[in-house]
Amino acid sequence: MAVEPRRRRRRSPGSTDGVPSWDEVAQEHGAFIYTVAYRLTGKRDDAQDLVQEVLLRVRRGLQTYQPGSMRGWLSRITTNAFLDDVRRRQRRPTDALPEDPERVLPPSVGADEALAQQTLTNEVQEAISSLPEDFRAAVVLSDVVGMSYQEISDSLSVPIGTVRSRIHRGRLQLREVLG
Amino acid sequence: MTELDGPDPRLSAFLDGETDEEETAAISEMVAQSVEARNHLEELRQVRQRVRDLPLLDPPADVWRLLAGGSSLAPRRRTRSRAQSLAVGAVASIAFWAAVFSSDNLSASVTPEVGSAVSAHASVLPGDLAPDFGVNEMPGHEVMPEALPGMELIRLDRSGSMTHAMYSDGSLEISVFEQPGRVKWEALPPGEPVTLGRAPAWQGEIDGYEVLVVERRRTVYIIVAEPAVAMLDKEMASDMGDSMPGRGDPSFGDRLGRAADQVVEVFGFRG
Repeated sequence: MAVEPRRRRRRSPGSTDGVPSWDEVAQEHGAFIYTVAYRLTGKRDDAQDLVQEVLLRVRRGLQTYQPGSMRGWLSRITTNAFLDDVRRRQRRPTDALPEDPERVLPPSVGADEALAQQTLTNEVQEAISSLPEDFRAAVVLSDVVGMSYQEISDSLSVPIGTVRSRIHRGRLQLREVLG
Repeated sequence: MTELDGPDPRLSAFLDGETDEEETAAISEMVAQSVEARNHLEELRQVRQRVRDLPLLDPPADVWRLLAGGSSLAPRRRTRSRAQSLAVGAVASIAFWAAVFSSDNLSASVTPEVGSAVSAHASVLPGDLAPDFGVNEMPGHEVMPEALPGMELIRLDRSGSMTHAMYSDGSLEISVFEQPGRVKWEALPPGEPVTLGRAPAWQGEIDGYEVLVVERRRTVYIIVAEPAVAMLDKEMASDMGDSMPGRGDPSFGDRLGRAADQVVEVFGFRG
């Protein structure tokens, strides 16, 4: 089956049919995607990996994007990519010991990362990172992204009561960690 | 009741305006009458505020490059000369290239760094795809086929004796890394030893990507295919609803599995 080359199917910049071009997504929402990824992962390298995965999914889904809340859509993709990765690692415990020495040995903080940590209210970020992933996702979607409980429920495919519980328990754990 | 269950679980929802009328009235009354409840509510409010106050982050340069790489190709390519395009592609991939194969001698034993190959494959974004000029002008064209069945060559790089070709059917990609030498089989991570014809091979999964290492005529090949379609379908379905192109198309599910077979056939590993 002959398949039309991908690049010829790609939407041109400035398309006006209600669906943004990739350039528009990157320029307007790039920092947002990275912020959500960083809040979920708590590490710059992991955030970068997550952004890369999100780009892959966005790239494939942009042509079918239905005009609506772009940030909600991006948040949903980012959070699901994050949780998928968590579950994948849980299914394959050997992934906890990858070739990447940073994940085996105590991480050495580079100068740029140290600087970033100083400016990123590290204490709160570390507290978020200490949450179980399901709680973390709910808290980030609620308090970083600003989603409603119903939107979070739709994004995570869990009942709204579960969303309510995860946010509440997540905040209680944050309260304990932050003192 | 544990410490975590202590404060009324409705308090957070109340704080967020996510309680119904009846709950709102009940909690309002509770807060009005209980100092403890008021304190809990205030603590939750402060925690929420600290998270809300976290700043929007400026992505580091690496991430901006990723973002820029996802942009539409045509405008950028029109502004570049062929030489510039080649240079950009080479620079973008050079860091991965250095790590994909490590060898004692390029013509001798080679340790295929399958993890790095997967990273190199996954790092190629649309903005990195090959510019519009003939395959014969690409470095490395003499060792890689122009196309696989149903897939076109979209990227080709060469660094030293190593060549990386990426093929696409329009939505899915497969990478082939090639280098002269003999595989150090014992250096590969746990996987499944297989035989393709008379050629020894290693098959495994790295970060969800299917990876095949083949040695043929003193040449080492690493083949990286997209994540298993079952997982991809599930992710797509949850991320994008039912409008995902190709869902329900039986050929979509088969293409990934066939991709590695196509490479094997075209490169003659079974011969």
